Amino acid sequence: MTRTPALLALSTALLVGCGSDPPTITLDAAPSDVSVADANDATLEDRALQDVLVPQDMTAPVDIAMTDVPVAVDLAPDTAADVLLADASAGPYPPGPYGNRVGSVLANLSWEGYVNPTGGAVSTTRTYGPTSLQALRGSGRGYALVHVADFY
Amino acid sequence: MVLDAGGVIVEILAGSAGAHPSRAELDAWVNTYRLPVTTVRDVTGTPTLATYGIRESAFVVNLETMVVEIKINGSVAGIGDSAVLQIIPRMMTLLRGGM
Repeated sequence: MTRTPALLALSTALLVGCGSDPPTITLDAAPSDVSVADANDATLEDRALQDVLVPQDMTAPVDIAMTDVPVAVDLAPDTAADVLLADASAGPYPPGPYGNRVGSVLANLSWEGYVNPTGGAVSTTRTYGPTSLQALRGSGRGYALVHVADFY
Repeated sequence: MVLDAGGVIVEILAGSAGAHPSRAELDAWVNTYRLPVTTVRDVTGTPTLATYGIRESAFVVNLETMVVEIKINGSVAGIGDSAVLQIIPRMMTLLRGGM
């Protein structure tokens, strides 16, 4: 399996408080957002080759994210079934266009799985059911960390 | 740490060698790493891969605007720190009210 044990680190330590008013949104083109492909890895997926560049000048800001996906509609409209952790106070999901770059609005997708907002137990002890990014917004305050993984 | 600071974490098992992951694979993913965070999979197909991007993509999203504030692509070859390890310190800065 690919690495995700880093997520274990998220359950440690106790800190209290939510973020204050969100900062001004700017495109983040810092070098830390640039990943360098392993040139010797011949098994990279096509998408990885598209998504990862090796800039000639590491000091030059480079947006290596995929081209914005032209999604014009909300992919996961709220329904009665789409309610694991729905919170009406979050308001309607922001409109598109949607994308996956810094500065873009992330599309509202539907999923199924284990919603575990408190982190008090291993997630398989929670109820399995439908949810969505809209449902997971909670109060609409603060920030979310969204991580895409692949089972190997 | 992130949860206690008021953050939300969503782990999406978006694929199984690029295909739709099974319920059993999702359970194995959670149980093997004893994940205490929201962990989900697509209902069918792999729209998350198509919309959000490849594995090891990590985003910090402003929950009010749903705008991507930070994005990190970790190495798909497993080199260096994972995208999550790289992004956590920056997310914690935002949660604490920093820039």
